[in-house]
Amino acid sequence: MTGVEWGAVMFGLLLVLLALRVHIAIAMMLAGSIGYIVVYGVDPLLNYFKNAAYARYSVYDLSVVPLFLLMGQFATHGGLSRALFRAGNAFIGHWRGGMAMAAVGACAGFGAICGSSLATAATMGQVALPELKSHGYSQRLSTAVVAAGGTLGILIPPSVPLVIYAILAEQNIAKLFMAAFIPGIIAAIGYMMVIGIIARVRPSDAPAGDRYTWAQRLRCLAETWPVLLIFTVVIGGIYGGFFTPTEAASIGTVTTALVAWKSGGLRGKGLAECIYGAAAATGMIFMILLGADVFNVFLALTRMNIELAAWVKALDVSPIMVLFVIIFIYLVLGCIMDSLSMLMLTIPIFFPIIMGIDLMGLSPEDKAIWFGILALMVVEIGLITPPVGMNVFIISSMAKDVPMKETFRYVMFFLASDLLRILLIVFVPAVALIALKF
Amino acid sequence: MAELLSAEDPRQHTGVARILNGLCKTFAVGGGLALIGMAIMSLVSIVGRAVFDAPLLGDYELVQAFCAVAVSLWLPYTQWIGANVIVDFFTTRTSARFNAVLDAASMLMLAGFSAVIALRSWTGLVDLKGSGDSSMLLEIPTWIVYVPIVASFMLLVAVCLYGLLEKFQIIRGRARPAGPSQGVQA
Repeated sequence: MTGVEWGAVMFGLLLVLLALRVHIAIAMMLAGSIGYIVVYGVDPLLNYFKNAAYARYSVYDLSVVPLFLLMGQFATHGGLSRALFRAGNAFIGHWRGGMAMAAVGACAGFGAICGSSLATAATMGQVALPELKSHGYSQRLSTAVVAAGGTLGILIPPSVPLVIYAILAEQNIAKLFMAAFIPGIIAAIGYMMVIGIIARVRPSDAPAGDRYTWAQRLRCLAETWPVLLIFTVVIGGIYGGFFTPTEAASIGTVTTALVAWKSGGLRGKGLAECIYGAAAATGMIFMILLGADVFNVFLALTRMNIELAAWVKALDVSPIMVLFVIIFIYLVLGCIMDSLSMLMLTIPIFFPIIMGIDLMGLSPEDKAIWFGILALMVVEIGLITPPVGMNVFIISSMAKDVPMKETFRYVMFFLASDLLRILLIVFVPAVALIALKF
Repeated sequence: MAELLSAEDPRQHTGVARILNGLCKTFAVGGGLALIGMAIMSLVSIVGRAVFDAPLLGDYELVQAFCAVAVSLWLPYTQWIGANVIVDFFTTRTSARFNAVLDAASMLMLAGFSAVIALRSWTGLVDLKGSGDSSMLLEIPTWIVYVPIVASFMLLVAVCLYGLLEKFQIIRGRARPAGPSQGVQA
C-alpha cells in the first residue's frame, strides 16, 4: 500500500475507535503510531516520542490557552457575570423580552473576557436563570437563551478554539481575534432579535420588566468597569500590537485574579477551585493536542492531506459546493463531538483543501482567516445541537425542572439565527475581514 | 452543576485512591502556581519594557518553560476527575458492562501511551543533560522542564491503572457504573 492509502486506513481506524468510546487523544495517538510504525518503522517513532511532549507543550503561542481558561475562572469567581447582567437589565429590562436580551448581552460581555463557552453558559446560568424565573419568563425560553448565549463565550474573542485553529493552520492569533469580533457582535444581535420575535409571537414567554432611572443605569454600568478595563487592555493591546497574546492574557489573568480576590471569590477554597477548573479544561485540550500531533505528523509524512486537497481541486465541482460539504460535515460531527476535538481532527485535512480552491477570489491570507471564523461558527453550533449539546446539558443540570427536550425546542430558534449568520459570512466574507483593513 | 464548573471532585476516597487524589491535586495546584507565576513574570516584563525600556531578559523562553510545566502538571488531574470527553453517541443503548469493557480497553491504551511517553521523555531528559542543552538567553538547562513532564506522565499511568481496576469491578458486577460522563470543555 502507498502512504496515502495507509493514511486513509488509519483515518478510518481513528473514526472506529472514536465510536467505541476511545478518547480522541488516545485514538489519534494509536492510529498515528500504528501508521507511523507501518510506514516508517518503530525507531523513528520512539525517537519522536523523546521530545514530543516537551515540543508540543512549550509552544509560546499555546500558552494563552491555560491563561485564558484561568482568567475565565477568576472572572466567574469575581462576580463579573452578575455585574454585567444587572447593567444590561438596567438598560433594556423594561423592553418586552428585555431581561432575556440582557442575559445575551451579558454573555457577550463575559465572552469578551472568557475564552470558553461552557464557563460562560454555566456562570450566566447561575446568575440569570433565577432572575428570569422570578420575573415571569418561561423556563424553556430562559434555559434556551442561556445555552445559546453561552456560545458567545467562544464567538467573541478571546476564544480558545480560535487559538487552536491558529496553531493548526499556522495563522496569526491577533488577526483571527480581530476578524471574529464583528461576527461575534452580529451573533449577539441575532440572538436578541430572536428573543424579540419570540416575545412578540408569544408574549407569555417573555414579559416586560421594570424601567430603571438613568442614575440607576449608570451606577450599574459603573460596576462593570473591570470587564471594560480587561477587555480594552487585553484585546486592544493585542490588536494594537502593544503586547503578544500571551502578555495580554497575563495582564488579564492577574487583573481578574485581583478582582476576584477583592470581591472575596478567592477565599477559602476559591483559589484552588479556580485552578482545578482551569486544570481540567486545559488538561483535556493539551492531551488532545499531543494525540493530534502524533496523528498529524503521520498524516503529513504520508502526504495524504496534500493529495486529498489536490484531488478535490481537480474535481469538477464548484468550490462553493466543496465549502458547503465541509460545513455540512461539521454540522453532523457537531451533533456527537465537542468543538475542540472536531477542529483538531479536521483542520489538518480541510485547511489544505480550502487553501487549494478558489473561493470568491479571496487572497490566501484572507481566505485562511475567513475560514477560521467560519469553522469557529460552525463548530460552535455543535454546543447547542441535540443529542449532545454541551451547553444545553450544563444548563439543564442547573434547571432540573425544565425538560431538556423543551430547551432544545426553543434552542432551534437560535440555531436558525446561527445558520443565517453562517450564510452571511460565507457569501459576504467582508463581515469578518473588514476589521483587518484598519 | 457547580462541580462541573469548578471541576471539583465530590468523591470520597480511601486507600490508594486517596493517595492518587492527593497527588493529582498537588500536581494541579503546582501547575496553577507555575502559571500564575508566569503571568506575573510577563507583567513585570511588560512594565519593564514600557517604563524602563528594559524588558525582562529571556521572558520568551521563561513563558515556554512555565507553560510546559503548568500544562503537563495538569494532565493527571484531568484524567483523575474524568474530564476527558468521549463520543458516547453510538454506545448509549449498549449494556453498562459492554461499555465498561470498551472503557477498560481505552484506559489500558492511555496507560500504555503514558508509559511510553514517560520512558521516552526520561531518555530525552538524560540525552539533553548529557549534551548540556540550555535555553538561549538565561541558559536554563532544558532537561529541568522534562522533570515535571516525566513525573506527570508517570502519575497518569498510575491514574489509568487505577481507573482500569474500577472498570474491572464494573465488568465483574461488583460496582455500579458511574453516571454518564460529562466532561469539561472549552
